Amino acid sequence: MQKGTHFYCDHCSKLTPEKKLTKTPVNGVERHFCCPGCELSFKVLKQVGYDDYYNLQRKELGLGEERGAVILTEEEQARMDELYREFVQGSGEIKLVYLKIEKIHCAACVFANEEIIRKLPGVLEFNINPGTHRSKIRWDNRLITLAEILNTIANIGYYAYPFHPSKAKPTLDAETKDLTMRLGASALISMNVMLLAIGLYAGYFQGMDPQMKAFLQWINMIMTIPGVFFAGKPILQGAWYNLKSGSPGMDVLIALGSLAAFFLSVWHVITGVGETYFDTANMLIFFILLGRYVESKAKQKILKETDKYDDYRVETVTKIHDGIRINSGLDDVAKGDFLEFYPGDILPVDGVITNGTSAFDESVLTGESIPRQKTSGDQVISGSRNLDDTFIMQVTSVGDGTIFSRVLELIEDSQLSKSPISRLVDQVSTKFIYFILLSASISFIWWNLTSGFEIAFPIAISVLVIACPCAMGIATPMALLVGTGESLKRGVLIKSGEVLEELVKVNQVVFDKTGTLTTGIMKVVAVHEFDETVDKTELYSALAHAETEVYHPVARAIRTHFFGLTGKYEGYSDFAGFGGKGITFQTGSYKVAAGNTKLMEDEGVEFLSHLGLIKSIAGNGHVPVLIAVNGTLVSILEIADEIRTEAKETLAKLAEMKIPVIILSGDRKENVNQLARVLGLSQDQVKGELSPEDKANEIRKLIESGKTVMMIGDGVNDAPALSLAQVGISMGEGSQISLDSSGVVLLNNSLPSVVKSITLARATYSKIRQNLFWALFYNVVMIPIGAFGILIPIWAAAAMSLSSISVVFNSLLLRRTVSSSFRRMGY
Amino acid sequence: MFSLYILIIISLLIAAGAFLLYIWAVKTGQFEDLEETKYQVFDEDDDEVPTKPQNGTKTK
Repeated sequence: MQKGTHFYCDHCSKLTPEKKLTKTPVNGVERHFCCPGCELSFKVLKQVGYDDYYNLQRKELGLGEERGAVILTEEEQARMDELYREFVQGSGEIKLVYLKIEKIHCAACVFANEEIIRKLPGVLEFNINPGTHRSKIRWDNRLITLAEILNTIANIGYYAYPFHPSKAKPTLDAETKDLTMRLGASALISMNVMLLAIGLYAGYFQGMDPQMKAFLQWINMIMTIPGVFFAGKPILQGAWYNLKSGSPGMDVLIALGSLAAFFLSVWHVITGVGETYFDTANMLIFFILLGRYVESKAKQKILKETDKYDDYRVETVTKIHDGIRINSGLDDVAKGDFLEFYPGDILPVDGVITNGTSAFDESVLTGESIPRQKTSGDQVISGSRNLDDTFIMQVTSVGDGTIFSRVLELIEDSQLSKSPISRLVDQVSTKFIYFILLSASISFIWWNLTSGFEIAFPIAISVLVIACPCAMGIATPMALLVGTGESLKRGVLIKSGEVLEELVKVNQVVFDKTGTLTTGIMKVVAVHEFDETVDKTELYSALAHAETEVYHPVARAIRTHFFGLTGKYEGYSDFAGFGGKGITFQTGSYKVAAGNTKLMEDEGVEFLSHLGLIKSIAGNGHVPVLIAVNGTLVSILEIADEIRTEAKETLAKLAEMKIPVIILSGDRKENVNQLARVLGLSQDQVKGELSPEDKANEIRKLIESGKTVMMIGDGVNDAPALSLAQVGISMGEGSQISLDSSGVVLLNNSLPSVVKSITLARATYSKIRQNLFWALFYNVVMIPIGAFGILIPIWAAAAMSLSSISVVFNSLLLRRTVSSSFRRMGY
Repeated sequence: MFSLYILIIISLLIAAGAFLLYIWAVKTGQFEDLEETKYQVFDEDDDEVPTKPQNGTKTK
C-alpha cells in the first residue's frame, strides 16, 4: 500500500505521509492508519466480518482486490466463532445457523440471495422465507466459514445477521418503526406537495402569474427532496442493490418511476419551461410504503402467536448431586443428572420420573388442556409445566436434543420452507420484471411518436408502477404463514410446503392398527366368573402382585386392573413364570394358575366346558386369560387392546370427505377383521398378518396405481411404510422417532388431527390459488390500462398497493375460513 | 398577492414543525403499540401499584 513516502490508510484510503501514520499489527499483518478512529473502525469491521467493504473501496480507487482480507487467520476465526457461538448449532463440521436478512423486499431479492449463496462451495442448504426474511443456512465448516457467507451476502447488498428463532420480534419491531416513520413523513410531504400541485394544475388550465408558478414549483421541489430521498430511502437502496446484483426487483420499477418524475421536474423548474410531476414522485413512494407497512403489521400479528414459546425458556434448575440440592445453570445439566422440580416449574429438559407423582400441563406442545398424571418410570417432556407436586427426575436429553427444541426447530423450518408453487412464482416474477421494463419502453416510444413527450412520459411511469408483480410475490408466503400458524394452534405441525401440497392431493389413507386405531395398551374389558366359593378379592390382589414379576402387556393389564383392591391380601409365594403360557403361584390356601389354555393343559385343569366362551372371546380379537384355583377353573379375564374413542368418528369424517381408507396390520387376520366390523369397514378394506416390508410393498402398490397416500402408523415398526407414503404421520407419544419420520407431526397425538391436517392443507392451498389468481388477474388487466394511458401514475401506484394489501387481507381471512369449516365439522 | 408568498412560507414552516414532531414521536415509540395502551390501567406493575392507603401515607 505504499506510494512514495505516503501510505494509504487501510480504513479510509486517505493518502497519508509516513510520519503521521499509525502502524499497528492487526492479526499478524502490519496495517497503516491515518488516525486512531480509523484504526478502531477497521478492527470492528474486521471483527464482524465486513472485510469486503475494503475490497469494494479498493476497486473504486483502482487498487485491485486484496484477496487476503477475506481469509481469516485462526485467531480471527476463533474470535468470530466466539462472537456467534450462541447462535451456531450443530457439532462437528456441519453447522447450522438462522439468519435474518434485511433489505429483502420482494421475490427477486429472495431469488438473488438464494442463487448466489447456494452456489458457494460448502453451502449445503439455504432457504429464505420471503414472508419473514428469515433464513436457515447449513454449511460445511471445512469448506467455508460463516464470515465468508455473511461477507458474500453483504457484497450483494443485503445485511444478514444470526439470530435465535425465538428472539426475532425486536428486529421486526425496529423495521416496523422505521417504516412508520418514513410512511408518516411521506404522507405529510405528499399532502403538502399535492396541495400546491392542485394550485399548479388550476394554473395550467386557467392561466397563472409566471412568478407565482415558479415560486410554487420551487417550493414543491424543495419539499420533494426529503420525500424521495428520505422517505423513499429503503426503496432507492433496494433498487441500487438489485441493480448491483444484476437481478432487478420491484424496487427498481418504483425507483425508476419516482426518480424519472423527480429529475424531469427539476429540469423543468430550472429551465422554467414545462410542467412538474413532483406529486407523482411523492405519491408513488407513499403508496408503496403504505403497502409495505400493512404487510409488516400483518406479519407482526402472526409472529406474536409463536411468541408464546418464549415464556417456556428456563435458565436455572435444581440439581441433586450426592443428595445435595444445588442451583445450577441449564448449561451444566447433562444426561443422567437428577433434577428436582416444584409445582409451577417448567421443565427445560426431557427425563424420566424417578421419585414422586404429579400432574403435567403439556398444552404448549399438544394444545391439550387437560393435565396428565405421571408417576415414577413415566417420561416427562420438556416444555411441560409441573402442576401438583414436587418430584425428582433423571435427565434423558438436554439442549438441542430435547423434544421441545426439536419441535421449535421444526416450526421454524416449516415457516422457512417453500412450497414448489412458490418457487415457481419466484422464478416467473423475476422474469416478469424484464417484461415490464420492455412494455414501459414500448409504451413510451409509441406515445412519444404519436402524442409527444408530455403525454408519453406519465404513461411510461404508469406502466412501470402498475405492472409491479409484488402481489404475486407475497401471495404464496402470506397464505402459508397464516396456514401453518393456524395448524399449529390446533396441534398439527406441517413440516414443509411440499408436505402441504401433498396433503391437499391425498386420496388414500392407510391406517396401522395397533397403537394407531387402538390405544396400543391392553386392558381388562370383562371378567367372567364361575366359582362363588373362592374369595375373589384375595385371589385378584395376589394375582396383581404376582404379575409384577412378568413384563408382558397382558400382565400389565391385569396389574393395573386389580391394583388397589382393598381386602384380604396374604402375599404370594412359590412363583413360577412360563413364557408364552402364564404364571403359577401360591397365596394363602390357594394354588393359583393364570394363563392361556396351554398352561391349563399342563396343569391338568378342565376348561373344555367353557370352550364356547373362550372361542368367542378369541373370535372378538380379545385375549382370554384363564384362572384356576387348586385345579379348578374359577374365572376367565377378557383382555383387549382398546379401540381409540375417536377412531370411528375419524373414519366417518374421512368417508364424508370421500377419501378411501384401508387398514394394514401385523396382527392376526381375525383380530383385524373384528376391528373392521366394529369400525364399520368392509373386509376388503383391511389386511392382516403383514410384516413391515409387506406394509411398505402395499403402500408402493398404491402409489404405483396413481394414488397419493397418507399413512398413519406408530413410528417404530411402520417406519419403512411411513417414509414411503407421500404423507407420513406417526402417532408415537411425542417421541423423537415420530418427529423425524413423519411429514406431519400431530403434537396432541389424537386421531381427529388427521382429518384436521387435510382440511387445513386444503384451506391453505385454495387460499394460495385464490391469491395467485387475483394477483395475476390484476397484472393482466392493469398493464393495458396503464399502456393505453387511462390511469395517471398516482392512481397506478394506488392500484398496485391495493392489490398487495388485498392479498394480505385475503390471507388473514384464512383464519376465519379454517375456524368456520372446523365448526361445521364439529371440532 | 404578496401576502400569498408570506402565508405559503408560514404554512410550510408549520408543516416542517409537524414533520419534526412526528419524527420525534416515532423515534420515542409513541406509535409502537396502539392496542395495548387501553389495557394499561389493568396492569399490576409492582412499582406503580399503590398499596392500601394508610393513615398519613400518600398513594401514588
